Amino acid sequence: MALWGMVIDLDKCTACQACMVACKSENNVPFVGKGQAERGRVISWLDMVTETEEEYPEARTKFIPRPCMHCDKPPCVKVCPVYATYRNPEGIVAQIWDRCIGCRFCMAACPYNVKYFNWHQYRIPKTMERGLNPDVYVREWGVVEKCTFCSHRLLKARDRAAAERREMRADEYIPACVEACPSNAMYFGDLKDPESTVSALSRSPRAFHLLEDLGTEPKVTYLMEGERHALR
Amino acid sequence: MHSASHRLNFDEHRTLFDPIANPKKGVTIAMGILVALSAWGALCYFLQWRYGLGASGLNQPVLWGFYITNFVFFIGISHAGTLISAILRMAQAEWRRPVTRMAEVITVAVLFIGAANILFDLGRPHKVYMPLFYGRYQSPLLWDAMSITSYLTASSVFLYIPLIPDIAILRDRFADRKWLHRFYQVLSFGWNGNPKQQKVLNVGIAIMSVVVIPIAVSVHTVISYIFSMTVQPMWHSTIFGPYFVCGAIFSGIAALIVMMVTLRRVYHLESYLKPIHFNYLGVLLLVMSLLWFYFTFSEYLTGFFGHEPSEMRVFWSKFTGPYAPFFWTMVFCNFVVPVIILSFKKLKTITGVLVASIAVLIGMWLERFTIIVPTLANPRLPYPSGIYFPSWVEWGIMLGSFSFFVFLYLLFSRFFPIISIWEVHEGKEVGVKEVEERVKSYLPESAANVST
Amino acid sequence: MTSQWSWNERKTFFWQVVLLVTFYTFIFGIVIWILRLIWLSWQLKDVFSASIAISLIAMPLFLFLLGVYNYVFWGILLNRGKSKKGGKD
Repeated sequence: MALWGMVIDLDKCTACQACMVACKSENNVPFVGKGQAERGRVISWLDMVTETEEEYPEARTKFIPRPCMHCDKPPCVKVCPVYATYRNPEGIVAQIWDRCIGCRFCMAACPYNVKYFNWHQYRIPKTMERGLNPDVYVREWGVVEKCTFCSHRLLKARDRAAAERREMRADEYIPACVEACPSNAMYFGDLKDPESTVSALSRSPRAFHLLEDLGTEPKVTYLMEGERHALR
Repeated sequence: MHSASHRLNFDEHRTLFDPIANPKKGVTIAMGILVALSAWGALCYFLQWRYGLGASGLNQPVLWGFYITNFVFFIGISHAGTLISAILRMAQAEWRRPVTRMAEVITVAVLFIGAANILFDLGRPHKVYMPLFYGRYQSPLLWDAMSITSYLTASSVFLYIPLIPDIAILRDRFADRKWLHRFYQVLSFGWNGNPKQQKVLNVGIAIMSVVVIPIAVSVHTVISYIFSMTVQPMWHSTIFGPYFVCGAIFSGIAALIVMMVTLRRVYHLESYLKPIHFNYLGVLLLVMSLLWFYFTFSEYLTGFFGHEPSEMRVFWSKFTGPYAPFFWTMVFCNFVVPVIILSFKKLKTITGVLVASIAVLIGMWLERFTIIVPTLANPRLPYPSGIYFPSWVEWGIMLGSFSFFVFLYLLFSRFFPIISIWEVHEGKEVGVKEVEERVKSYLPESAANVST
Repeated sequence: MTSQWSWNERKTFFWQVVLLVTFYTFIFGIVIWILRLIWLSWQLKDVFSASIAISLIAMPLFLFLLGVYNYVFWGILLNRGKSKKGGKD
């Protein structure tokens, strides 16, 4: 069994937000409209977190693309009352949309705020209906949703390999954000395979995790920005 | 003919039968208004059901608001009830007799409203059966479901058992009313007050008063676990269990006092609920106020001294930030007002105790609010967050919840005596002598010998 | 003894039994619910220990409450003594 993980190199990331757009269209993430957005109800599975570091002599703003961390010890899974979110054997924190009762406990428990709630039944504009991805479920109102590491792509890749009667290669499965990144700042692969790029990079001295001290053991690793950080 | 009734003069307790025998017009009108307000709440909920939770003012980081606050608040009030009446019974406090019933009714009525508020908060209420089929015990929400169900069951039984002799009295009193008589006949289980039945009843009450206390404590502890089991700043605190239980009893006593003062006025119960009752409950309220302050102080001082950045963001948003008005009103209502009023004999009149109780109810609601919302508004990762404004739908549902609670209470008082008739009667017949004996037994033997 | 019961008494007793049965159904419904969730957590290998720990407290508690209710119900109902219920005051 593989253990899927992601590495994001903040040095290479230009904060162009192509990943956000790719994610949104790949996963049929609803457009909430201006009014709802102003009320703080934007749904964005992959969000760009800005963090202003007060580092002397000058203040610097960091841009951090933030998908779901797919923690190995996910706080959201612990609190779900109905098995609507669980950690599957391949390390993906998966969702059963249809079972979610919308109590939003997982949202309250997630320290990374990666979970989003469908406050209304959001409609996809008519002109964009044909752009919907047929591989991904369209979520109903009242459901909590989040990044799945594009797990439908994993299923697809595995099915294709099975049809061709061969083993699936790890590089056949790439989430949309990684595929879209123009500066090659994102890597994806099997963390268990010591040969893979992600496992090599996640052992790099520049590697860190968001809110590491909470013990959630995220599978999204970041590589620190700037050479002076590298020298630390 | 029946030993329960032949000892009892119906006329002597006329004021207690009055709400059932000749209901006052004012109460009926009040109930009508309350039903209308509850219907308004129901309409608001219908709208929310139709358009999704987006009808509320909740948003991305602040994903829990009024409903969860009300849930915690209502379940908190329920502790008045059973817990206080169980403790007073076990302590054999004689002044409990006219108070216990009122407290127990609060518990049962309010638990329904509290549980309903969880439903209001669900994004997909039509999937509410999911926990029945796929519930998982790791989630604190399921712990809640278990503890609230057991508490509701236990407190209903605890309300019902001491009610049986009173139902029998009503059965005999309303022998001329066909349906009412039949209704009471079914519920009284054929009680006639013989010693064997009396013994069964006393054993039942004694067992339930013991059992209900740990259940009540566990209920609010588990509710606090919803918050403290997460790793969010200012939620992840070991003190939350006792802190919530303390606040629950605190707000419960306040609700009990408000109900007592109101019903005393409405049903003319002045000869049953005397200033001394309010005095004693006032003392309890004062003690709980001090205890609440102690918990609050410890909670915030440890947070402040530890100075963890994410905790401090929440801390300052409560102390000086957008939630400061609520926070300081809470401190004022929960600590300053009750302590000032209840510490001075001159201020500790019935009106004074009532004012303190209303302040505590407001303060404790704000306490639940300031625990829940500021933490959500200030998550660990930097997140754009505004202040949370409840929508009119939420206000409507909240109004409906409160109205429906009072309505249930009045409905109960319309069919059952709101003051335990047999217990008051027993107090007169047996209690006085018993207390005298008991006090004598406290005293040193020699002193007792000398006096006799 | 049953033959001596008046129609009114029978009806009363019927409704009292309905009350008792409702309570029984409620408690056993909860017990079945708990058992179902334990079974599910075993099937899904999802923190079986938590299910056991909680049900170890919850199930006996509910059954105990049922016992108390039962005790009071039958204790009062069967100890009515000889006095027959009359409508007169």
